[in-house]
Amino acid sequence: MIASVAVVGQENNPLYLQSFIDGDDALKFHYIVHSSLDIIEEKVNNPKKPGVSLNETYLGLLYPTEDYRVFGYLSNTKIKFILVTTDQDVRDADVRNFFHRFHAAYVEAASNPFHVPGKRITATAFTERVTNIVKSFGASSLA
Amino acid sequence: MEEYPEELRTPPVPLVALVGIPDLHAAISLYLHRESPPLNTLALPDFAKVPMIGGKERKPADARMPPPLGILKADWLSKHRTRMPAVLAVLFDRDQVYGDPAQWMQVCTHLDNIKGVIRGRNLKLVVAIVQPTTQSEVNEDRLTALRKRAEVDSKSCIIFVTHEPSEMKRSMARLGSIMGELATAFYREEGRRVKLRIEKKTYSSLELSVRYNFKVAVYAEFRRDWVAALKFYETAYSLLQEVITNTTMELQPVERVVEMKAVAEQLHFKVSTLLLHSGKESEAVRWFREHVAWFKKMVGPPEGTFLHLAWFSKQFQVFAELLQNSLAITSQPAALAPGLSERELQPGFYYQAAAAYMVRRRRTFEAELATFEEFEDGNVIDVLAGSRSEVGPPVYVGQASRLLKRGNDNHSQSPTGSEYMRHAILMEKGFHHSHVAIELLTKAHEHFKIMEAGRTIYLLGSEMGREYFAAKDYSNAKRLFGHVAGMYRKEAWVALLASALAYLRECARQLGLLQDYVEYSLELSTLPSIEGFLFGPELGPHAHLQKEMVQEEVLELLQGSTQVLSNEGDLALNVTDLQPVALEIDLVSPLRAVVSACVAFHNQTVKPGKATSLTIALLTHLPLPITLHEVEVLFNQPSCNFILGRNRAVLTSEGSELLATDSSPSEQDVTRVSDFDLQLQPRKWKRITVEITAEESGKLECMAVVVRVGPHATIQCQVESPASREGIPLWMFESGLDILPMADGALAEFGQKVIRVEEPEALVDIVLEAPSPALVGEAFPVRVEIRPMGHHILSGDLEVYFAPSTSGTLIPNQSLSSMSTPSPVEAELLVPAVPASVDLVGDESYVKFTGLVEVPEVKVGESWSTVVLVRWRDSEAVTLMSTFVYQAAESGHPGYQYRLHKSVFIECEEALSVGHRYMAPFRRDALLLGGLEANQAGKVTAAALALKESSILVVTFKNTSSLPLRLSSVGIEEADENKCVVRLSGGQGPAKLIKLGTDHLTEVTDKEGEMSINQLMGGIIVGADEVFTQLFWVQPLVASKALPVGTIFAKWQRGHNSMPSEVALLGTVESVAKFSFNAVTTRVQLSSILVESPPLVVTLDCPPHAVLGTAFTISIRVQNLTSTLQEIFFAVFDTTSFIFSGAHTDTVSILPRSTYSLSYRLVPVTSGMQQLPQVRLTSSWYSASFQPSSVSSQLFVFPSAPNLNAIQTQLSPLEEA
Repeated sequence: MIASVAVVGQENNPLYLQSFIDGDDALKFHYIVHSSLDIIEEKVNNPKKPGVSLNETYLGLLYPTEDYRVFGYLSNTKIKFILVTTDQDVRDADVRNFFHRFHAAYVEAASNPFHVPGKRITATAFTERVTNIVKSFGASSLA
Repeated sequence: MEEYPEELRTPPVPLVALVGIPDLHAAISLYLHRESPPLNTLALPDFAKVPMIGGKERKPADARMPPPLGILKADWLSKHRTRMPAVLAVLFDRDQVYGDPAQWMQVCTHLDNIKGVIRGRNLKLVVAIVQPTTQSEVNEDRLTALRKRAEVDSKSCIIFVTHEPSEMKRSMARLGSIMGELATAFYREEGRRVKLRIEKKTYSSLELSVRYNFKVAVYAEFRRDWVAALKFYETAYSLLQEVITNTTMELQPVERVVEMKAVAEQLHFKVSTLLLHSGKESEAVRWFREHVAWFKKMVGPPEGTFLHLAWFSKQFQVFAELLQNSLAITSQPAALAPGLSERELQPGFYYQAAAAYMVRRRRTFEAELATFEEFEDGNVIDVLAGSRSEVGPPVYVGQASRLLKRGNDNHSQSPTGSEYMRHAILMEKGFHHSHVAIELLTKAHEHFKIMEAGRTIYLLGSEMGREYFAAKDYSNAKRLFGHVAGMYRKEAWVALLASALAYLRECARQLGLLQDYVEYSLELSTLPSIEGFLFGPELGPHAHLQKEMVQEEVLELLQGSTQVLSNEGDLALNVTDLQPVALEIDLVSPLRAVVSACVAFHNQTVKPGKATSLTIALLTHLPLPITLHEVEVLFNQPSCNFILGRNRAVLTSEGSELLATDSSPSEQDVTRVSDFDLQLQPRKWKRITVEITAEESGKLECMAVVVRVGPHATIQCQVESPASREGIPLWMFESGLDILPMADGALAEFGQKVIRVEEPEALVDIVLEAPSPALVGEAFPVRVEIRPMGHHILSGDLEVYFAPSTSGTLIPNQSLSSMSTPSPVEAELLVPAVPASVDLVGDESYVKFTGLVEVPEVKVGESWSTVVLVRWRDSEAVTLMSTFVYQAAESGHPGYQYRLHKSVFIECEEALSVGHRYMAPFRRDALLLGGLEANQAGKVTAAALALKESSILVVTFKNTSSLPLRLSSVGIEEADENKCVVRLSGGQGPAKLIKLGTDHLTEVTDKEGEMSINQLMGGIIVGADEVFTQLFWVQPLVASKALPVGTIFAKWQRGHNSMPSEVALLGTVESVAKFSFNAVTTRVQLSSILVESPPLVVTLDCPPHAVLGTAFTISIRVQNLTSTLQEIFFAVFDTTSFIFSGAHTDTVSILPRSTYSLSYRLVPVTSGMQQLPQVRLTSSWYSASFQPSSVSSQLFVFPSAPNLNAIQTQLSPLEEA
């Protein structure tokens, strides 16, 4: 199950952050997403390290916390997409698929003529679309 | 990890025992300890102590085992490591064995006793006969008897030689190896025995399976069989999991859950250690992950949750320490196994998790403690906290301590559930959760610092801050949150920043820091979109904050109408006149969102004393409207400062009092403007336009806006220009339109907070008069006149100087350096010399002028003037600048120095161009060999003249200027009279000075008498482009290759009778007369001439004219000036105009120093200008031929005889020459 998703801008500022777990400390996901930027930076700055290939946008598992696992995705324009999931075993293909759809949704939201690049995304259409993507996460593996 | 007992932390070492000959025990123990693998030694001082090592009677392998009371015996491991040896070595003295029968009997008794003790335990026995001397008598029978008695094989019975060090060493090695071997055999057998029991399944409880597997694993570890040990530990662990799954954890008493987890912890610790020791970090991490995941749900009963969390925290901490130790040993980082992230191989990650569990443990316990204290009777004593005699250690791992007074068996000694919980809670109460958590976070911080994980460090920082806050260490918490807030501000993580600020605000409140409290509150209330966040459980009632509430509270505080209690009511924060609040907001302050001010002047420049419009725009991001009491605007010129007051309509009575009382006497002179609506709406610019008047010239800059929000609360805010305004960082990422600070688009785009106040106008005129153009060499007068046009000049300084000449011909490819250095102006400034002054410049009546003139007082209506002279060295136009600085007598700006510039462009021309050429005398030519050579070689050399022959020098003076010139005298100064004589043409006198004029050609030899300008008013006028020519005779007296002739000089003056039009424009005759020009002497050095003595001189003698039909004679005289015979070939070219007689061609010889005359008689046959027959002379010696030019050999033929008398008189002077 997806706990939280986030879009982080070029200046490492949050553009969008939504958590899907009710009753839990929402601030925690802010901390988790913010700390995960460290690992994205590590991966980008040390491309020689094993297990990192910068030829693709998908960065793989960034780090696990006690309860969650954090995955990352970096667009060509240095927009970071972050997924926080509660599942301990996630299929890589599912995560990739999720990020592709999430990225596409962001591209569409950023193409909105009323959206100023670099500002927080407040469009409800984006939120709805992301919620749908989150809901359908992992559905392909079940089917 | 340090909490674990030693036997658990370190791998087990086989234990052996020694008995007999205590003197040797120390040496043997030391040796065995150093042996590889080492052996621990239990030294028994005498045989009486042997029963100590004997265990209880063993049950047979197939005996039925009852369900146990616990899983692992608490002291089993330590018993096997310190008290139960695997091998017993018995040392006998040689004398005892081989001695008399009594001694032998003693030995036998000892052996029997030992055998009795070790029988139940399968202990291995080694017998060593100590031989202290070289005496080596061996009694084989006695030895065999001994072996038989001890029931050992020959290998286990050794001779221990001590008398020689090398021998003793060998003996020790033998003893060590046999003991090691036997110990391994012992542990193998023991393991096999326990394994047999597992296989036989003679028991029903899984707990025993766990215990037996654990034992097998430990025995394997004793024999250093790590693979087997790991296998059995893992089996034990999974069996334990089965035990747990078979029971319902929630229904179990807390102590049972704690026991099972303690066993799991021990097994897990062993597994992790073994995995890490064998270099399998990834496997260890995976094992740990499974361990944690499995036990996460095993919370047990709710009242023991904090114990569960404590256990979890410990798991993470211990694993972090294990990993850290393991990584410290292995140098290279472990390869990342798939499915693992890099973080999981970092100890810091586990420390951080341990700290997180520690925090949760504290929070859970705080809740638990509250319930506990609610229901607990304070008088009940904690029985488990009794003295050592009352409370004994637990028998099984993880169980509670025993109450020794309650009976004898384990069951009755166990405390009840409530006793157990009470003890646990009271123990936990004394535990410093925050300190431990901070310690763990500090360790994590150290690790992440190495990894340069900045954001994670800040996360740790805020966690530490929270723990400090929980521990009521507010100053440390404030310090940490202060750091953290900076990072979150930078990256605009608003929610995280809000959390940090909420803590900071509380810290400031608790510490009683009023200013900080206000700042944090204001910043918190201006953050964008932070609704619905829980900022931290430690904050209590302040965990949920609403921006609006924060703003209302802080504004009420600033207005002095309320106070904020801090530190549980000990200290109150309130804003009074003793404790005013003055916030300063600069351009990087996070408080810019509270009030930011933008100021723009409507104009770029303004005249002093004139009013200009200024728009002040104020913006707030506070969530609710805020009403300002007044706004003070500060400038760099304090006289411009003003205060904007509030609209009287909305001014409350309290407010009016405030304004009346608040203006201190020192601020009385500040302009106060009232009637402004000073209510700021959230995120809307409040624009106020005022007129201000600057008095001082220069820069007028708006520095700051001071906003008064309460009687004793001000916010000073640095202003920005709209043109260079930057957005407020956090709000820049918010959606929504950015509204420009100024309504006027141009002002919003280019508006500046600075205006240039122009200098006051100088009411003085400077007139620079110059009758352009100037001529090179003359002292050109420029008149400078200062005319006050409204200012009464008190005193002033006039400076005259040349503008740096850029000469208008900048070549593009010139280097920058040469462009920047202006070429020196080819002119100088002069003034007429004071007559008294002695040191004149040469013979001139001028001195150099520095350019500075002091100007005396000049009243309005008067004027002051001076004349500056300029002399050019080269014809080049210059710009003459003048700067006038003065002080006026006008009131208003006393001491102000007005400044005025004026320049005039003056062209300059060259006055005279002097030219000259040499000519040979008429019809007399000399052969000049040097001149011929030079001509042939194509070299342009000096003119060649014949020695002692008079040549003509033609000097031309051309007026190259556009003005007429008065040429008063010309002449040539001879360089040396003895070498070269220069005479005036037409006269015999020297050519030193020829005074020109109406009575021209009058010689003036007296040099002194001609200096006065007035005397030279005569002379001749040479108009523009006219040429004046003067002829001289030059007669060189010595032969030379470069003979200086002399210097041509010409004295001239600007012609007065026709002034140029510019000067005429000045109007009056007076103004023309103001300029008087001096006479200038132009000197031109004549170039040196080449003088040589000619070998031959040819002279054509011819009458001046002829009459048609009348015969006449021409003769060509050839003078041989050499001392050799010269052969001359001549040829005559006939002409049709004359009939002539004489030889056509011939060769003649001329004697040295003689003259040959070639004469022809001619009869003209045509009248008019006729060409004489031309004679060509060729000197074979010099191979040079000469033919007179056709011009020089022409003759006029009269048709009939003219009146010759008149002609004779006119031509006579020429013939004489």
